[in-house]
Amino acid sequence: MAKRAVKRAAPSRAPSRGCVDKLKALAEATRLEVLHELVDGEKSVSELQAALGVDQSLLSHHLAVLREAQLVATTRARRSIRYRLADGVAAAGPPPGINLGCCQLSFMPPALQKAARLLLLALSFGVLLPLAACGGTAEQQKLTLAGSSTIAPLAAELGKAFEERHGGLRVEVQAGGSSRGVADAREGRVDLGMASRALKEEERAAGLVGTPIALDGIALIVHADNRVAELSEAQIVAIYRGDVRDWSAVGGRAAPITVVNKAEGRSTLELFLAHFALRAEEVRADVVIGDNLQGVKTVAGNRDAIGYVSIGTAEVERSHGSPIRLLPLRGVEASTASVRAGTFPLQRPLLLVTRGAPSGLAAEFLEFARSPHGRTLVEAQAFVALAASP
Amino acid sequence: MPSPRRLDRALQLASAAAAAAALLLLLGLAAFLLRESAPALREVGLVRLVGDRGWHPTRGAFGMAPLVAASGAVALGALTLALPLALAVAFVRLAYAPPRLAALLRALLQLLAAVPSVVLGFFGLVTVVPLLLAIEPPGASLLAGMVVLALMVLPTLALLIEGALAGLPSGERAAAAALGLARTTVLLHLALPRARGAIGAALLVALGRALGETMAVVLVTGNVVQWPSALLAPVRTLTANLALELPYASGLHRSALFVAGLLLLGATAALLLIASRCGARERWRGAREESARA
Amino acid sequence: MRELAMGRRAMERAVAAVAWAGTLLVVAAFGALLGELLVRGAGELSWRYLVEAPRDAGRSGGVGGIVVATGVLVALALAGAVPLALLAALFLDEAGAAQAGRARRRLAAALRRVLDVVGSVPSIVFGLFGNALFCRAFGWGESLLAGGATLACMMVPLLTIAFDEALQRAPAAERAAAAACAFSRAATLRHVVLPHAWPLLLAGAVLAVARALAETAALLFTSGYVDRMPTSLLDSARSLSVHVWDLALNVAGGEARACSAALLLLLLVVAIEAAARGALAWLRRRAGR
Repeated sequence: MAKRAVKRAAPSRAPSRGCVDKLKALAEATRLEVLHELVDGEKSVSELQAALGVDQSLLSHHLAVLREAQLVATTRARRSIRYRLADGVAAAGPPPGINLGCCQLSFMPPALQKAARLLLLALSFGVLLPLAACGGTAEQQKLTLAGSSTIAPLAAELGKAFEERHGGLRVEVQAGGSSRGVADAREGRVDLGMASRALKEEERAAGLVGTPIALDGIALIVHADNRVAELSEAQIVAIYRGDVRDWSAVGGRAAPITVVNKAEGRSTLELFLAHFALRAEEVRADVVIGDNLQGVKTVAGNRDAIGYVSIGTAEVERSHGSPIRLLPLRGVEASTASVRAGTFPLQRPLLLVTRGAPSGLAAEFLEFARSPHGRTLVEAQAFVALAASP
Repeated sequence: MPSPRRLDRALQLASAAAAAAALLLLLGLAAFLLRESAPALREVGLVRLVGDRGWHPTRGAFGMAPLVAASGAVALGALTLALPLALAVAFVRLAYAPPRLAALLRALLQLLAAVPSVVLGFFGLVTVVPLLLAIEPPGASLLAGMVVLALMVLPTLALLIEGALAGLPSGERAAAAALGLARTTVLLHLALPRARGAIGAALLVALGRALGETMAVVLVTGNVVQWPSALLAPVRTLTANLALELPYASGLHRSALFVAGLLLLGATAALLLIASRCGARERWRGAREESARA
Repeated sequence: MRELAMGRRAMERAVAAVAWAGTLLVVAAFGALLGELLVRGAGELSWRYLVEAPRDAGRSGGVGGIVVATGVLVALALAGAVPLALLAALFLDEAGAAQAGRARRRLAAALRRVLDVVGSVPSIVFGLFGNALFCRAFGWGESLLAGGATLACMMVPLLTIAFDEALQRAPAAERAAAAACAFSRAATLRHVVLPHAWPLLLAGAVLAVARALAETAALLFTSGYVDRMPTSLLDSARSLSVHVWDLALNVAGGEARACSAALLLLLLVVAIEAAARGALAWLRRRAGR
């Protein structure tokens, strides 16, 4: 994410002392980033923290340096402190940049440089497709993950943080379902498979090892406008089997129920069916979805839909403004807190799967996922973090 | 500088090699699909691929028939919607619209022919589906797929039909003018009967495109595996099934998906060959070239 | 008799009215499409949108890495397909020459038919093929390289057909004259064929670019959908079209952003096609003078 700054428009006379101090203060990646963020307008510390992904203590240190160099100033809004570009420092652009008074910086995204390099590479290799491939393999260290769409967003966040610790490493995450995670790990196509369920007996027998990195639950979700507050397990079964087809039969408004089901190969489907002792053939669905997010999106867009998704995903999406409500199960509220307390009836571990005991980078990644830093990232995705293994 | 003769020889060899490679592409395509689908064909067999009850590949039920039926229904439905509209546009451009407006319409058709199918599918998702949802849930349905695919094939179909209708020999045109026939009459009673074959061929080509389309369909049809029984019921096409399941499929399941690919390859190739029998190839190309140029 | 004429006139009116109504419906449908994209998507398009990395699954930020990945995919496809298609088209062209043998002419006819068939194969089938061959058999995994190679396979038939048509533009009389002067094949190509053919060759290539830009299904299983800036050809990265798909399908509240990405994609495709047409028209006018 580090943007490179290019100095433009040399000052007409020798820059003043203050200018040098300002440039000195800017000669640090995080501080430069902060300035880049503030070009858009004032931001609170928490917004900056979210955008940059750095520790708060570290951030406040950098902010102090920037304040001292008179690059940023603070505004006190009711309860929070908001940062903005200091007077005498103005946003410039396009391309986005800042005017320091004595000289002007413009933020050149690395995109352009990389684009040029890659395009050249692509054009030069012509018909020599396979040769180029051989040349490229050894170039870079890479850690690949694939599988459960429940874990994918978390793994991407963990990956970004992990990359920062390992220069030159790239962590690639592909969703596709737990089945894919297990199959890809088994066949050695990825370093770590993602599975949002416990491993099956035959999978363990085949030498697969699953390391839990978090706990999650599966919750029924409905549109926020739906009047139904709770459904009994029998009612849920009746709805999914198509015996009950109208909300009025379970205390809602008179409207046909849109039943949202998951596609095959998804662990959320398997666990849901197992919990309610349903067979896949019995389910009468109106919409079949793949990723968790698609489930949230489908229910958010249809007042009379019911679906089931990962509690973590649902909570994150709800906080992003998706109009959905999680239904309690057996009277237990569907929330991260219930999962943490172990009271929620439909819980599951989120696993990273390796062929044989994890080693090398994969082992380091697993360790990182369970480190304090990793655990904050887990909690940020509304999953329950696990303590480091004893 | 190599001698002209050597250069010629090299050029000849290289071009022959390239031609062979292009030929190999089809063979390779078919061979690879066959190789990957062999396990399913061998262990599951065609009978079960057609006859199994339902598509539950992870539990050993490989009945693809509902998927095939859904693909056919969506594509045929799309053509049913698109054909009258394409005819209407062709009539307006040929007979009713003033030249300026006709040119504008043509530009519009060309613009629409260029719209990526994923964009059309997205448009269907945000406008057509909610519209149908208001009539009867879940909205994502066979009809939604038909509408979106109709929009997709319409521009090319209209250009093709227009080309076929405009191909009236000048002698007959003159005769019609001498008789004082209205343009509608000429189109309806002279041009249309003559162009029937070409229009049929154009429809076949459009059918091939509609059958093979993935993105526009997967976004709007709801993707429930079931026989297409009602217009507002969700269905899953062969192509949508591939898009949804290939990422995680393994073993026989993956192999069965390649059988579906083979089926699509065979169906589109057959449609194209039939259409080219009807003489569509030249016309289709003609229209494509023209639309590229005008 | 008069009644008949009246009836016919009424019928003609009715046909015209129905045709106009149908046309209006089509225009309205497409107006809605363009309007939707413009109204909801145009606001986001900006310099920053083009260069910034997507954040929050694409709900905010831009399409930086995605634009780069799209460019790389198209460049790879062109680099792989254009030389092959050009040479194959030369082969077809030679086979059409008067001195070519009968066997060769038959072979060329068969090749043309095969190309037509391959050109009509659904793109998702190419996706399957690319996934099996490039991602698995070649071990490239889901990567730009595998996606580019798959696109190249898709483009070879389309480009060969277009190039073949372009080469046929050279008048037979000029070719005969060149043959009479004992021009070598290379010289005939250089001095007789190319001057007539090159505008159409270029147009064919540009249209293939537009087609590759719009492609989604073939890339889904071959280049994956990691939304980050690629750093090597073996990285997985998503194209703009796959980004639209992911936002539309998998991101709650992603519609506005999907509109922007779709609008950007549409603008790119239309601009490229329009540029090709414009250039061609200009060249033709110049040639006509």
